[in-house]
Amino acid sequence: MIDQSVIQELKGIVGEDNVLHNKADLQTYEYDAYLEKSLPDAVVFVNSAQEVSDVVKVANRAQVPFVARGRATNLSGGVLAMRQGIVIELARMDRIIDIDIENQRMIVEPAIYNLEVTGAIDNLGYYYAPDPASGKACSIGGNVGEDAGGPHCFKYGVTSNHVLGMEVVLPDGEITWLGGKALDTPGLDLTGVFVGSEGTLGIATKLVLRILHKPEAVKTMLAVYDSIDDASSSVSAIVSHKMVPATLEMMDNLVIQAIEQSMAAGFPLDAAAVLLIELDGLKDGMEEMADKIVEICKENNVREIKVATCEAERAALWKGRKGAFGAIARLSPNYLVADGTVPRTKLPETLRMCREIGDKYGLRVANVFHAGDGNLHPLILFDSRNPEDKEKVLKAGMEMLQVCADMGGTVSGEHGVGIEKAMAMYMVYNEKDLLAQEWVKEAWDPQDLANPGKILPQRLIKREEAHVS
Amino acid sequence: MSPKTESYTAALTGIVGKDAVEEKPQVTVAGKSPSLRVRPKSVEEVGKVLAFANENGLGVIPTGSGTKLETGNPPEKFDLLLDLTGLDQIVEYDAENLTIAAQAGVRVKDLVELVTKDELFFPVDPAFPGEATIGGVVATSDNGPKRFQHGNLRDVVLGVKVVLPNGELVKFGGRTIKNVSGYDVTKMMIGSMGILGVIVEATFRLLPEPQREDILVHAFPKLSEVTKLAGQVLDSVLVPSSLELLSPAARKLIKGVASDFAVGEYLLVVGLEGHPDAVVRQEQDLTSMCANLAPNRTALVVGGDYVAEGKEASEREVTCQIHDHGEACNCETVTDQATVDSLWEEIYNLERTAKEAGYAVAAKVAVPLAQVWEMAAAAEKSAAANGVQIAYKISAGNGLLNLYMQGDNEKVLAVLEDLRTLAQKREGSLVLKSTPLFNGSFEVWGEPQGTHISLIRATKAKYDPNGVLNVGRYVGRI
Repeated sequence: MIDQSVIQELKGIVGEDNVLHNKADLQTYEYDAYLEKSLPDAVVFVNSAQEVSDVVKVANRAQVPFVARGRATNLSGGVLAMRQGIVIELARMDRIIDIDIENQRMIVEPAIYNLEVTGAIDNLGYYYAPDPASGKACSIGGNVGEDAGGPHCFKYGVTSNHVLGMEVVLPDGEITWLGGKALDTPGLDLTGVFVGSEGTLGIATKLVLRILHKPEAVKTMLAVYDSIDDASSSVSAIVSHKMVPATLEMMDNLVIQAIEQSMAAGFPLDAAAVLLIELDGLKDGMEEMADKIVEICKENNVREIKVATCEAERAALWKGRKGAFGAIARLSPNYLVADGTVPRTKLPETLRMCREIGDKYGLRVANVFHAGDGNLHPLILFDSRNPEDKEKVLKAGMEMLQVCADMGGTVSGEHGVGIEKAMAMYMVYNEKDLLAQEWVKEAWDPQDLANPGKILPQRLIKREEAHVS
Repeated sequence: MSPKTESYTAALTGIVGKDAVEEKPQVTVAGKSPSLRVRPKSVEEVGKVLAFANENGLGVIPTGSGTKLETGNPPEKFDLLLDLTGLDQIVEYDAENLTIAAQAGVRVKDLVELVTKDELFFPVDPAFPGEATIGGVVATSDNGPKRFQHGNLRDVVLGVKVVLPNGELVKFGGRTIKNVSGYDVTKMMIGSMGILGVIVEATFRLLPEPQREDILVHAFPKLSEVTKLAGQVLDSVLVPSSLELLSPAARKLIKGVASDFAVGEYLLVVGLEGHPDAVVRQEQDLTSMCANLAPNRTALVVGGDYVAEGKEASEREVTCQIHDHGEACNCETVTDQATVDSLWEEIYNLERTAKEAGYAVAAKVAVPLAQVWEMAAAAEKSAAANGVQIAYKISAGNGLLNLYMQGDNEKVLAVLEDLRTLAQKREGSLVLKSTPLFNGSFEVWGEPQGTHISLIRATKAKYDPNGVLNVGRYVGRI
């Protein structure tokens, strides 16, 4: 427990009403979208970089850890206060600071929802490319913390390719700028290393985003298959025909069923897989490319292929994909999503092995994944009220990550390591590699106060040590 | 030769062999020469050499072909030149999954040739591709015009292997586009100028080769016209792969097809890639836009090899539908990939051509996109006022101004100071790329702007605690 005097100091910074420290209030902040819980000592609602800085300085004086929290959609335990301390709640810092069309940049505060960024510039003909499926619920700050991906990464890259600078409160409370609107800044790419650091290197309070002109034309297609392998072969064939679609998203039968029960997106219930393909760019040549894709899919035994003919149809096809994770609730009260990534051609084999792992533990595995970039999301279904289930599901998840690592891939593609995959880091890095990563944390946060106990296995706080509510 | 140097020679010869150690090599970096050049042939040898240097407190500068050796402050210590050209292996080439891992000493040109055979495209086009090695390109984060479409090194490097100053080999990142497993140290290694470790291998993303590649060249009498045009293009649906402008003096340095244009004019070079219909459509749109701003000019379309499906190679036609625009614009076409490639080659090698023509100083200005035009105008003005000759190239889609200068040292310095002050006011920077004349009198990187220098210092202290690699050459003389 932190000292009452610290609580008083926090109240002095943000006001009496903006500090929570009663257990009942704190319980809202003891979990995220992962399976664990950990109760913080205090929650502080901040409204400016200066307040963040002041709170962090109090934490430094009192040697109390702190964790930044935005919309808390994190899937790997990234915003859990594993060593208790102060949760710095950023939800009120959701303003747009600057829309700079001429320089194709936008500056926002961290808690703005991902979808609101594009929403603010849509009428100017621009958009922000990284589009995690949870875009309406997750914040840009969280996207930066996790280096979030999404369906459009195969062509446009991940969050780190679109964040060029930031105002940061460092772990000692100093406010500084990294990078900026210009593309090249002399010195180490500190922006690059901050993105994906899961709040362990400080707290970003303003973000400089690259925004892109909207493409002239978009063509969305839905291909229905009787086998996952045929769908996978189609993906490879499309790429080998020199096309770089904006998205290549696949959903398997279990996910299709969940989506249809939840929102009736029009996916055939008996299909083994559906593939959502989207082309974007200039309208010239797009029809021809779309025809070619249809032809390729037919060569690969597609059952049927629909091409969206208007924006409403396009939105309908996407609605199913974007709502996939949520729809899983129709099948099971809980799920764990493994976030491994493999070289694309290894997908069919990896999926097969993930299913086998599920069978071994008697767990159903649904799959929705980014087929273009090899990022799979086996959703392992279970009921958390059954403690045995939970143990099995965690084991199955780790085994699936091992499969991804063995296939030449990695253990987290876009959800972050957090506490969930810290031990899985050994699957892709050896002790020396991990020590060289540790140096980053040591250089930025020698006191180990910023979101401690995350990412690196050597820093993972054992459950028995952690205070579990 | 001092006894100490002799003992170093003996020890290093023991590691890499006699042929791979050269005493008193003919290399200078900002006026300093090393005692030895060492050319290891394997990653293990690099590890042993660095461990030896680390134990004996030697100053090491890693290099590939040496094309960027001039960039940086003068070294504080420089005992060994670590020549990485012996690491010349392709480690893993996975054409199907569009990735390639290569050792540091592999030349960009060789890598491009390799993947081109499989109709793939290496999305990095640095200066001097004939010599530049991938290790050097990654360490200096040097990329060219096509970066506008394909991104910079930080967007296409998926992972690196690095030998740390203590001799240990470590890896960061992997070989997938999406990878958030741990700290993204790969990003920090890109452009780190070898201050944290020696990059011995890098894995890159590849792309399918574009179906067609053309270049559109258009001349403009005034800078203000090109400024307008670039603004219009950037705020349109068009997606050129590059948007380069050569100043009249830079245009004079270019030979080949682009040299036919009128002397004294600005030359806009637009790269276009993609579906043939999209390329032609952009040629039409761009030519109309150009014609509206600067009527009665000649445009040149350099069309790459492209054979429409269902046609024989002999039937290849680069449709210049631009003629349809009538009197407003005269249009010529040249139609072979060799011409496209040689025009790019001229642009990639511009820094050297400029140097050979007497422009001894090269600098790079990076500012937010739209500010680059103001920087160019300011450069012209300051150069004229100081009696300095300049030639420059603008990468309009990237907000970069590459500047080549000749004149009295003091006058050149005055221009550089002017431009740095203005660039910093515009949230940008000016970096000196080659510095033969100043020998440390001008801060190469400028005072760090928007970068927390103490973080860089702390990072350096963790990775290179004994100060072995490129000591004193980086930002803040780190």
